[in-house]
Amino acid sequence: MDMNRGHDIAEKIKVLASFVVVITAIYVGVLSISSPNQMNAAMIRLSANTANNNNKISFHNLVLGGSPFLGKFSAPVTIVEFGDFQCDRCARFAKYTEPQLNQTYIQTGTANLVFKYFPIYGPDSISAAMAAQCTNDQGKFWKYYDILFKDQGPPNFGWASKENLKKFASQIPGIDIQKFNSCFDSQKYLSFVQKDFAFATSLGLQGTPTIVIEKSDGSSSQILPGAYPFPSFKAIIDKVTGSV
Amino acid sequence: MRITTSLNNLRLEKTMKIIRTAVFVSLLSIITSSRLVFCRWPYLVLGAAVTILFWIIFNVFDQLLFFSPVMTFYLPDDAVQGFIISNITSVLVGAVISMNLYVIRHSKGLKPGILSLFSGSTMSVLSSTCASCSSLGFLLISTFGGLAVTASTFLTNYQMPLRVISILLLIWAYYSISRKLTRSCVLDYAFSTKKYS
Repeated sequence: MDMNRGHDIAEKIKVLASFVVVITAIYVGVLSISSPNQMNAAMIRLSANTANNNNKISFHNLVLGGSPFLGKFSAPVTIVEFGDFQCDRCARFAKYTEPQLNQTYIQTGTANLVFKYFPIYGPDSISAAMAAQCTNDQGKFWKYYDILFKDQGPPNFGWASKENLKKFASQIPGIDIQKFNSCFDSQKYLSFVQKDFAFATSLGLQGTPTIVIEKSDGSSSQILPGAYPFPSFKAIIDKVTGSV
Repeated sequence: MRITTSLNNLRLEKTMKIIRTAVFVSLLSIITSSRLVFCRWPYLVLGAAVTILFWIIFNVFDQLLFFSPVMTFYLPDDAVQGFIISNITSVLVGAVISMNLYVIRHSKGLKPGILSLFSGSTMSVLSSTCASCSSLGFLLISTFGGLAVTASTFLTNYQMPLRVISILLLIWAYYSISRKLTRSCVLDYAFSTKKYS
């Protein structure tokens, strides 16, 4: 009888332990995705940057620094995308949300979009970022952006090899491929990409895509860590522009 | 030659008959045990609640469901496959947890099928996170370097097969707990000792 009771207790402990482990796994997972702490930390760092470093993340500073952008200089809202060309959620953002943002806010002059490199997947991501910045020299970044995200393969499986990145570049109509190859082979933008990465980590960003929405002077910053759909952007942009 | 062929046919027929009977018996035990458990509303409610909880978790992981700044659910083309898999997984987790709880409460002599439930549900939760895009992946990469890149790349690249494996584990968990409920007749020593002493 005692043995039976002992067996029952052992079973109950096992069940309890299993549920605790499952719940912990769920908790860690939830933290890794939405992570309000990450958002808060990034918001604090963003505010510190704005206050101390002369609006480091403002549209003008980003564009003067050489980051690719889309839209008008005079747009009151700036959307900054921190992305990696190997990240599938970034591809989702590029395919589904960015076109809607472009049509609704960028073409109408309400917002502009700046891209910052945050290559978290490894060497192929850095190569893709360098190649993309080389296309920006010729004003072809957004075409290359579309091609890379459309033809994206599994990360670190060779789709973003140096040869393939050159092939993708050659698909852009009107590109000077000699100039591109020379820029890419010389790793002209390696330090630029590394600076972007360091900038993203200094803001406390921990994943891709991370989108920062703010007024063009760098104030009223809002962070969306993930491939948020268009309605989320609409809610924030309307709030920032005061049209709600 | 002809005798060998007919013998082989006979064996094949016999094997097929055994398989058919096994499938029939399995289905019958699953149906019977499901009716036994889910005709009691607390277990039905518990199953539904767990299903909804896991559905929310999976869709938050898959970045299809957002609670802020506005509550939004969207289903882009690239996420349909994962969405179907997460629906199946969450229903199975709800059902298996409910049945295990039934076994714990009503069948003292039976062991709940915790191992397969635990491995299935944990695997499905872990594989449904985009390991490299999320901050967990980033944390791993920045802490463990190259090894973590390999691990998170593996999780990202083999996300779908891992999720299918987790569904198979959960089906196994459901099947085994059903079999236990319908097949076992275990004497409750504690009860019988009290009653007949």
